[in-house]
Amino acid sequence: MQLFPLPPAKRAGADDLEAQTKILGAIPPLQRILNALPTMALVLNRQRQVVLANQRLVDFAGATGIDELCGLRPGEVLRCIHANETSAGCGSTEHCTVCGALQAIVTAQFGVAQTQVCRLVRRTEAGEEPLELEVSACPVEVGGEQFLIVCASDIGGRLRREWIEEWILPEAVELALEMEVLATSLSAPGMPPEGRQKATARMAAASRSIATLMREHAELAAAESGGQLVRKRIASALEILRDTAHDLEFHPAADGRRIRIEAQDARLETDPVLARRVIEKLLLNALEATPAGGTVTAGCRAAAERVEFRIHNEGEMTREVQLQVFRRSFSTKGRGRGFGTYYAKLVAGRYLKGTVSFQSSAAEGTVFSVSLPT
Amino acid sequence: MQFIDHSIPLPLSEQAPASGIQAQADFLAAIPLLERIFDAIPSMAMLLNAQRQIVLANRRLVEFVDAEDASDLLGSRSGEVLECVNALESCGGCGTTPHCSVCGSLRAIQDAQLGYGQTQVCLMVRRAAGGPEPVELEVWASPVEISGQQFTLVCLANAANRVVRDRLEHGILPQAMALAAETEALTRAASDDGGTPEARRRTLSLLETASKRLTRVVHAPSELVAAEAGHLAVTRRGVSARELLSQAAGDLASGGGPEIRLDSATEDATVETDPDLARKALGEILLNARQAAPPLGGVSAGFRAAETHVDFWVHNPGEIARLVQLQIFTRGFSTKAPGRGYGAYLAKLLTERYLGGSLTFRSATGEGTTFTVRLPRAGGAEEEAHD
Repeated sequence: MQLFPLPPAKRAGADDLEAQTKILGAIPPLQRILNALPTMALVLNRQRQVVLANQRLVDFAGATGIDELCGLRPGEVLRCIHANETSAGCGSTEHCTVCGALQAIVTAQFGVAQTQVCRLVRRTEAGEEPLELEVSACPVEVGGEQFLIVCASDIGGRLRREWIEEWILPEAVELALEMEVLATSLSAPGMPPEGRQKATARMAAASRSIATLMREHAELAAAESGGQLVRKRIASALEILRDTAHDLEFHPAADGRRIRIEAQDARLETDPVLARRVIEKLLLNALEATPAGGTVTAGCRAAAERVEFRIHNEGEMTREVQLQVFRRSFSTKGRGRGFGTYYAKLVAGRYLKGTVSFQSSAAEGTVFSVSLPT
Repeated sequence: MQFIDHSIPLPLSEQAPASGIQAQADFLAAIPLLERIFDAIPSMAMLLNAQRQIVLANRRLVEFVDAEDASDLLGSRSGEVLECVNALESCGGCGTTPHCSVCGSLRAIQDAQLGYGQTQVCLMVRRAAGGPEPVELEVWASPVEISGQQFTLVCLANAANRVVRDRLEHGILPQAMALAAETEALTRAASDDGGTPEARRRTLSLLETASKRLTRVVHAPSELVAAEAGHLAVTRRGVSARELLSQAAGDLASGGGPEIRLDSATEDATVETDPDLARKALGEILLNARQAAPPLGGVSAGFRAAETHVDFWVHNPGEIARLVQLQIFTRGFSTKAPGRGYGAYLAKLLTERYLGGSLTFRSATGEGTTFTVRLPRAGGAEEEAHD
């Protein structure tokens, strides 16, 4: 998703909306067909305001009827977290410059049907919730007025399938093939003891990496459902950092790259297993952004009642990446990626009561910081 | 994932006369914007009359079935338009074959005609240029009244994401995780220098087997894709039938479960085949039989040689319900658990598409169930190639 200019924020007045509702009301099959559709559907006027919505959308928005939604913009109906940031509402913030739904809508207004992926975060009673929608917008002219028919379907399942098929399993196949070769070499007669030691160390690491890969999917599901158990104890921040870096030693992403640890130790009461997973995702993210031969620097320090972990790599994130880096399934690395930083932020925030943030510039590179309570 | 778990009575196959279809289509065409709205629907969509015949189709459907124009589809039934093999193989068309009694699409449409909007998964096999092609469709059907007339609106979307995800999440990932835990424990045992050389050799051999199984498991999904795309290489050579069967059974032995009794009385025969693919096909059928058999087992297997082919048979004492028989080779259909239902499908694909053989079954009360994998003997494959 590219940055693109924001459309005008001006809305149609109540009179105009009423007239538009009348025009659409004169075509009875429209409402019935929209209601029979398996997706959420709505009709927008030129100012991107809802004039008509199907029952699925009304239900999803938790509204009592279409009247409640009439005149709102799509992000407001779906309760996008950015829709109420400014008084102009949906379509007026910097985040809207990378919004797939807005892009589909604005482009379709030029007369060509458009489909885009929209990764939005919704505000719900249970907190913030990510939702990936495939949004298609199709222009129609009714009674001399321009409208858009917009349909939105949840593609979360498709993205998870891509994650497993195009990332998790191919990674596992490589590791498993390496293990097969190592296992055969171990059985071969005459292998020197140090060779054997090295081979078994690599095999153990590969087994663990595969187990981790296979667990990732279920772990994310558990974290999202709120079912993740938290077992707190007093832990050493430096140990968390070192253990995580050590486990990544044989990881394909670490090939030819170095993790340097610069840290003063600090103690904190946390779930060390979950804390390691958070650090691991951010280290992997940094390693993947680092060219071969490069170094990722990780550190930790005590601050007032908090411990801060910092993970640094050379290189700057572009503005459009910065705006989306914590979005589930957003990635610059291709299909099936984009769950790591999302998971790190989810677990740090929801289970460890901490925060994950970043700073990125051409001069300083990129630093992700994890701040956890002591 | 929900599958049809009981069969439905078939509907009347009577069709509306052509003039009636045209009248209905004209009636719909006269409604302003209807076509435009239909084309705005982001999935394949069609309107059906009371006889389940298409009276309006949207652009996406026309493109999917590669028709020239929506008018080409008028009067047909959904299975005919989508080239469902069952619809095309019977003279009565879509909705008239025994397979239709377990069809998800038909069920959704019939319920919608009774007034209930419905969603079903339809595991369809389509006729395609490269041979039969399975496709999982999610079918929504709902009643809709247009200018006083009743129709059924049907939307179709690819359900492969759901079906495949089930398989990956509930089948592949947990299996691979368990195997990775096993290889890690074995690696630890292998690096322990305390044991006797005999114990060490045993550990290493177990480690080798477990690593191979792990590769097979994580590789299975992409291998299935390759098999379906026709990308598997076939290297035929003469193989002993007895060896092939005992190796396939041996692959299973390490996975635990009741023993499979191999009939050893038959004289050995040579089949001309790709041993890896044949072993995999036989393995899937053996595994299937063992899972279907009662807890104490009772699975037996053997082979019978004829002049041009060898029949490998796998028997278990259980009987397969008629409803399951109709869907047994359907990709993703399983009575066991979500994420299963690829074994029999893969075995059939390998045997028939790659090995020039056939896979059939017979199931009856008192007799149990027998699957038969028929593979050509030396020279047999060439003969078939000339057909």
